[in-house]
Amino acid sequence: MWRRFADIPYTLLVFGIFMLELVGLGTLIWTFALRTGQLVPDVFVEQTLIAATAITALGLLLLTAYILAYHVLSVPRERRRQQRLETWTDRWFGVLFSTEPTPTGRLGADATAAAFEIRERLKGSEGKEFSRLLEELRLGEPLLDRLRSFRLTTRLSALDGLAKARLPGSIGPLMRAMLDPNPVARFMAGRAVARTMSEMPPDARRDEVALTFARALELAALPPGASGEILLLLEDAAPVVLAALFLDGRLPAPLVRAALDVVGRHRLREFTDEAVSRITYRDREVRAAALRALARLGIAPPQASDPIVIALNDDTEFVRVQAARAAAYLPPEVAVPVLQGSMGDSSWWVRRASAESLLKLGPKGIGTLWAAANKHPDVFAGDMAAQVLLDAGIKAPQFGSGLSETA
Amino acid sequence: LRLESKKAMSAILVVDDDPISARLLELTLTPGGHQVEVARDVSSGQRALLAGHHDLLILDIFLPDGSGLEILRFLREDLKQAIPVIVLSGHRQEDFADRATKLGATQYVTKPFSLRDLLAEVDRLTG
Repeated sequence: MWRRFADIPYTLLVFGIFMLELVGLGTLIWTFALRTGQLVPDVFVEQTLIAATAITALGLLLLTAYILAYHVLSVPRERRRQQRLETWTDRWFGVLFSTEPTPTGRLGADATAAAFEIRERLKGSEGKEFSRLLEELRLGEPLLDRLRSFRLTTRLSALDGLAKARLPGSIGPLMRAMLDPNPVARFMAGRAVARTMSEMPPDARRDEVALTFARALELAALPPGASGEILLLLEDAAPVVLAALFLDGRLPAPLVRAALDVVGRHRLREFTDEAVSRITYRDREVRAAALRALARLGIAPPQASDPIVIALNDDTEFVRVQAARAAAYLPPEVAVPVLQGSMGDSSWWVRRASAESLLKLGPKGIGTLWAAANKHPDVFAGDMAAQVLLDAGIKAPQFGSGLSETA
Repeated sequence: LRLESKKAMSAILVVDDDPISARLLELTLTPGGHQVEVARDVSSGQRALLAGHHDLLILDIFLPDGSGLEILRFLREDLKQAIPVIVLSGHRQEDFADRATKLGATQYVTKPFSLRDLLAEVDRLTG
């Protein structure tokens, strides 16, 4: 977007040019229609055509002049704004580290914006101290008021500011904003709660907030990607929210999928059993997410053996792919025979994942790949084994003569 | 709160396109006696490395004209410099940290971070 300021003049200008064009084109069509009926002379049509073209040229000229003038004026304006933000950054930094007095009186938009930007970048005791200062100066209150605005853009910008500010006192209104009729506002509210929660101390209050947040996430009914991003932003508070989510036996499948993705991404090994128990879930996306989480955790406990082996024969290709990846963490005596079988899968992706898992299984797996590269009954399985060995830079003299870099 | 530094007097290059982050780093490190130079993108970061000697590099990963890891690769492979490098990133995921460590990063710090902890780390690495 090339504009940051002056939305209203730009809208009025575009509307004015559009109306001019509308009148010009309307007159032109009307004149041509009259000419077709021989009701006006040629010269009149020519004059109208010239006038309509002139209107178009005038419109383009106005628009170009506006854009050029905008850039000429807005670049120094933006520079001045950056300077004011920098001045306030210096000042807030001084206040935080006790080298400057706390500002008093009504603080302007630049002071507030700089304060929220700084808060977003601070962690630990500095972040908490700065949040305390922002609450003391009541900088969050105008944003909380704007959450009630009927304009979506106002609500979104307030949610963005509150996500940066991470004010513990804003959690309640933000939870309510997670029930906003607009899904983008619900997502932004979820992000703001998650970022605020990520800095809460691990106490009973956080556990209580986690339970409410888990319920709010369920009611927000966001797509799995959006829920996943919110859960990732919880950082150290993620386990307590995930525990609350997994406690709910009727959790919707998209949220289960998002929660499992976060288990894998944050490497939360304490949720291994939750992942294992969902390998056989009714929803295929959840089955895949559970297997992906195990592969990311790098764990396949004994009770996961049978479900993973079963998942290698799942009807859905992407579930089989994830099962092949998770199988790399089963004991070699279990994994090697099943992966050897899935090397002959009809899907290229499953064959590839199986071969890569065999490679991870050490000498037994590599031996199986060598054998497959030489004499697997399925030619595609043999080719895949050879390709994975070549990609890994493993060369074996006993490869068949037909095996080459292009295998 | 107080910022305490060992007054190590080191030349530090900060490569970060975020003006607020860069300014906070400057404000944190300068009173500690460090000399801070700020670059905003990969190309100006590489130019700064070529132009002068630095004792420490603080590097953001996501830059407007590429990845901060390109600067790290440039430093280690082309310039063959072994100065300590602190990589800053908004990503907690281990694969980012692994990639940075493989390329020769000394420390991987996720944003947001504590300015005092970072200053202590800078003092440790330059002391």
